Amino acid sequence: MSPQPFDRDGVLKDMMAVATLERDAELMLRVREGDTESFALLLERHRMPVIHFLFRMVQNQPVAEELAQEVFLRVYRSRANYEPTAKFTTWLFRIATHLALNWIRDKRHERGQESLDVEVQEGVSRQIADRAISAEQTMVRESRFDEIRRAIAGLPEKQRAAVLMHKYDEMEYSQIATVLECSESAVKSLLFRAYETLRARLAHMA
Amino acid sequence: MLDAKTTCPLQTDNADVLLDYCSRSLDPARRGMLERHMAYCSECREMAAGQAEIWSAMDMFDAEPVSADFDRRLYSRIADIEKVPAWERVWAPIRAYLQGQPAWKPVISAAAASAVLAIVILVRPEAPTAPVAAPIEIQEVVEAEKALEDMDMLRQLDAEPEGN
Repeated sequence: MSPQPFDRDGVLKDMMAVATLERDAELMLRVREGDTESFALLLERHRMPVIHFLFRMVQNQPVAEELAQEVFLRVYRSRANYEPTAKFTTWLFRIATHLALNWIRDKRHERGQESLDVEVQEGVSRQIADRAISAEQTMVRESRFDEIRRAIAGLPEKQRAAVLMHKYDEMEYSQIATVLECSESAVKSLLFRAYETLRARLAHMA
Repeated sequence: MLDAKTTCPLQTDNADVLLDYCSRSLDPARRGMLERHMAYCSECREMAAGQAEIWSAMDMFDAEPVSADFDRRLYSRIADIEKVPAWERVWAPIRAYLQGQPAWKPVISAAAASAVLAIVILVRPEAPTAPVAAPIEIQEVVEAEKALEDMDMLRQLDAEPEGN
């Protein structure tokens, strides 16, 4: 058997992941002991990923921030019972996903069976402004952004959550499986179907 | 493991290998194998190309900037929580749940709880108690006394010498 090539980047990435995992757990254990500075550090590290994930899920920035507040409040409230049995980020995204899915379902229930694609319209009004590019280019970019946003919004909720965690948060299949409370093979199937749908919907953009 | 000529990820439920390839998270050995396979397999080649395009298009979906007062609002809510006594923190979610229900829902819950309690009380096995003698009817006492008197009389008659 020929020796496997040494994947230096992969090893470094794994080492950093382990260090991050230990660091988060350590910080949370300190929060459990009443150290508020450690909570501030955790907030600093995870605020953006959580808010961005929630924004892409619900596609409404004020709602995303409100849900993110609830995520961190729940973390704070649960500090006394925290045990580092799972990755901190997995726990965090599990809370975030749960809140986002509930919000989407409540919203859909409130508005009848109206599609999310319509209901989030008001939430996302993006002005892509860049002085270096022309007005025409800006319009093209806005249009492409809108198409991607709509295509993602059109995915079933679990597929959407899986794709967002996979693409933007670079989470492993096992982590996504824990967050969505399903098997790894179910996650792979969700992702495959989601990307297939996106490829079909956005094929004209290629 | 992938064999360049015979094993196709799409034919063997290993499409995640193609997803990993496009997200650049495949290790070099498997990446090399897949690339050798794709040289023969147009289906995998097309899927990988399509996936790479989607992957790159999705980069456009940037998130919005976060409000400057996000942390301040959060800490203010945490401070509010800290002010609340412990018993109120336990009771608050229960109260919120009850308040969120239509007026008839707590009534149904209370009725269900009462029904369960009633069943528990009615079906509860009797506690073992000492056996109690059955009450003796007065009529039975009188008859018994008469029977005893009759027996005494017979005994006396038997005891008297013959010839008297």
